[in-house]
Amino acid sequence: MTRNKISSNTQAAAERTPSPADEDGRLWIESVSHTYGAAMVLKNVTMDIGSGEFLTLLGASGSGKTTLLRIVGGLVLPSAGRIRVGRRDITHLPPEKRDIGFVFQNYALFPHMTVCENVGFALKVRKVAAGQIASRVEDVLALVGLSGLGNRYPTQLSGGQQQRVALARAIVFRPRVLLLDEPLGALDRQLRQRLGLELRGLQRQSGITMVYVTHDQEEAFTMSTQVAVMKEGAILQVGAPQEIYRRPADLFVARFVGEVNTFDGKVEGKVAGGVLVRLPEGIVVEAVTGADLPIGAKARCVARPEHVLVGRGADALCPTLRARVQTVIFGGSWHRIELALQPSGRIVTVEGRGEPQGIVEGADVAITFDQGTIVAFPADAQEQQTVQA
Amino acid sequence: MRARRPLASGLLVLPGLAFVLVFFVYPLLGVVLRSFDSQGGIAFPPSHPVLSNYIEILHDPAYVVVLKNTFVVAALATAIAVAVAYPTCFFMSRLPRRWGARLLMLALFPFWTSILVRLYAFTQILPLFGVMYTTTATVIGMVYYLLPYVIAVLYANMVTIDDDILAAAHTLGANSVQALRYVFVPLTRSGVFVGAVMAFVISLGFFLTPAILGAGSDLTIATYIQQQVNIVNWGIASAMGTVLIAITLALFFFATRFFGAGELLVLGGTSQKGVARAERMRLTWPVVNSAIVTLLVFIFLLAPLIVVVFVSFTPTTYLIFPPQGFSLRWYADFFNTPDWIASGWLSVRVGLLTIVSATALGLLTAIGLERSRIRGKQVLRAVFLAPLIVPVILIAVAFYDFANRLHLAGTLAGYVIGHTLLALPVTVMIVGNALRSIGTELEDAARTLGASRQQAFRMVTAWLITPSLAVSGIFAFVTSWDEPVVALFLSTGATTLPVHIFNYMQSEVRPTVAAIATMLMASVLLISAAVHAVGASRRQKLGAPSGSGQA
Repeated sequence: MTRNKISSNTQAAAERTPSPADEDGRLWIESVSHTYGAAMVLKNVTMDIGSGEFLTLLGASGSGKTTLLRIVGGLVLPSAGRIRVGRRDITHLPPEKRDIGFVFQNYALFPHMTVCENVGFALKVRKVAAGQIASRVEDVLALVGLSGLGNRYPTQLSGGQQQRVALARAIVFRPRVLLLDEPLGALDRQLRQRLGLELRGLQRQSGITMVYVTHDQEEAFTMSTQVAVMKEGAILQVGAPQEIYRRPADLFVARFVGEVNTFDGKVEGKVAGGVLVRLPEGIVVEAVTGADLPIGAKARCVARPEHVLVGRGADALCPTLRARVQTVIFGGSWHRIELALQPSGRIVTVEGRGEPQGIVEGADVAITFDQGTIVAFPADAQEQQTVQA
Repeated sequence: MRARRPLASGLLVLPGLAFVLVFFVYPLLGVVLRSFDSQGGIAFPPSHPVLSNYIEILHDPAYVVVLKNTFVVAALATAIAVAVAYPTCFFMSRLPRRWGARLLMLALFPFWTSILVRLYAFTQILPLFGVMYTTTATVIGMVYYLLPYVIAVLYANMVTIDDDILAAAHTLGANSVQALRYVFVPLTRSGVFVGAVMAFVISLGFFLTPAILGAGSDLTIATYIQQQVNIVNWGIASAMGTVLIAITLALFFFATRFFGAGELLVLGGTSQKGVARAERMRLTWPVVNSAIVTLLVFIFLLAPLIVVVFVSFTPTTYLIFPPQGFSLRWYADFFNTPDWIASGWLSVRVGLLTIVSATALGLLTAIGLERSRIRGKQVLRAVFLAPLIVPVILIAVAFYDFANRLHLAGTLAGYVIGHTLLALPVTVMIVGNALRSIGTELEDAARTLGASRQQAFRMVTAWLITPSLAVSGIFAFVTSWDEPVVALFLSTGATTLPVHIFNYMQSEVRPTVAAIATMLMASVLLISAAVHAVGASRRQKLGAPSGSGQA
């Protein structure tokens, strides 16, 4: 397996205040495998996560992302492989010796302790003086917006507040690495978005290395500097969100991170970084590809709905496909059109901003694609199953 | 329509209520009245209540010794039981759920075994250690009896503490001792308290254990009451009994005051993923130590029963280790002795009739309590649960007194009524819980589809509570089948099997009892296997997951 070197050159990383010991937050996962009984839940996973990155492990349930997170946190001992943070090999350290923060999916707040006691726990077991504990707890509660709620018990808090306590508790001892296991999963959509943005801000300011587990593609994209897509215990692709979205490594990734229209065709020629594919409807399109597609091979091309352009007959760009408008959906700031290709009748979905200008159901239109947005994959590769979102 | 419904259902509690009032509350009231009569007589209303019996208790040093003895032994047994159950349950609760549940079943096996079987086992073992007929023997026997109860309570409490809570403590820097001290132990306080109060209340009422294992001088309140009843000294017996009731009720009141049910709830008690539980346990010192304690506790719980099985096959009339050869003569002895067969047959009949009466009354009562909006439900529930709380010795004495006057003592009806009284709280509880968990939604759905109220109940709810009725029937049978105390007092004529065993153990040393005990244990195993099989096939029919972990 290739080593996935992850160090960000995004703008977000540049905003971060560089720490003097920047290597301390670097997390190495080396050839980690794990089995439960006969089931191999992690298959030789290798990653090198740079200090200050916000890496999201994105995958369906059962893809091994939580197991990987627990291995890093020391809650699960891997069957094989090593974990290093900075220059320390922590593979065999118990969790309490790792100095890694962990936010649990259902928060795992101590129900018999107040918010202050929960947050101060890590400092208490580190034998920090009581006065200092109080002031640090107060600081971190202010940071997560919970000032004044220190004497409440977890059951007296809302879900969002409990989540903030869990976060405060995990960062109060200033770990260089923070692991989060679907921490927003139990919250409603609006709160999830707001807390996600807050978490992102906190991460960018503090420069703490975060590894975040989720099955929600949107959450992964909006928060992360890097996304790693996992399936069946293996990492399919690691990269910045834009990269994953625009240049998915395979059909599974393409479908997992967004909607796609697929077109099966045959490779007719090669261009720099891509191929020319003839579609059954007759036209030839240019598609980028990372795969080795020889001339004559079957190729499956994908185009995202927002990269499909709809014109009216003659004024459309070349080359064009003919289609008939079946459904027009107006969603406020966006619209969505379902078209049936002529003559095959295959459905193509188009998405655009604002109102659909002059496109009505039943009209005949011509469609084409944004330059450089089509991606081609070998079609003879195993048919990938659709992902449950 | 809807307004009439609650009242009609509420009437269903009446038969059960009448039963409890007539055969439990009224006789107990009789005991209390006797305690205030200088001659220990009974009169309604009491002509001139006097405190002479109580004054006598306080002034006679012998009574004080009995009281003190009872409390010291009960406290000691409770403390030991909780102290060894705690690490055991800690270990069990950290195992994968399935294994924890299996160990719990194993720990409860003695509970399902007749108390006389257990006591017989100790009469075989304790002499080897030279502690038979001492207070130590009493305490060992009591701890043995209490352990399954305390383990059940503590395990139920600890298993709700999610592994993630402890994992959280570790990721925050707590070592295994700190995680236990700051997180696990505080979260189990209420469980320990509930378990200890329960064990202590049970201990106060111990009758057979001190009577069989203890020193002759080791009188407890319960054995003392029995002695006084035997010599028809009702005044003192009643006063002692009233003191015992008062203490028991006070303890219960105090316990429920301090800890509501809500205390036992723990946040995040559900572990959502298989990940945490499937993981291998970290071998920290607390885990290793608790594993050792667990092993010892299980040896303690199961070894006596295994010894009994060995004894039953021994050809000699007394225990020799290792057994000299193999023989079925004690089994033959049982089947060739008409007395044994007669008492066994009586127990079967009493047990079967108790199933019918306790389940029927329990079902009606549970429907009345769960499906109506009658007032005073809390009080009614307390009344129905009371026979579980009041020490059995008192129920036995009070009911004996009452049954004597009605000439029910020694009759089949007398035994069935007495045992129904003991089984009813359990059947009400089981069926009531089932009805509550089923809810009324399905019945309402059936009615919106056109079913009448009776049809809806018959076609939906009745079908769904059948397993619970079966379970409550089993409980009723076991309660009756194993019950020695009430039956002992009633046994003026024919005796039930447990009473026959008790009498036999007092006079004979032949291992026929071991053969009976082995057969009883085998029947427990057979019944539980059958229940398991029926449950499994039913689940399969419903297409529900078998609960045995992930695929």
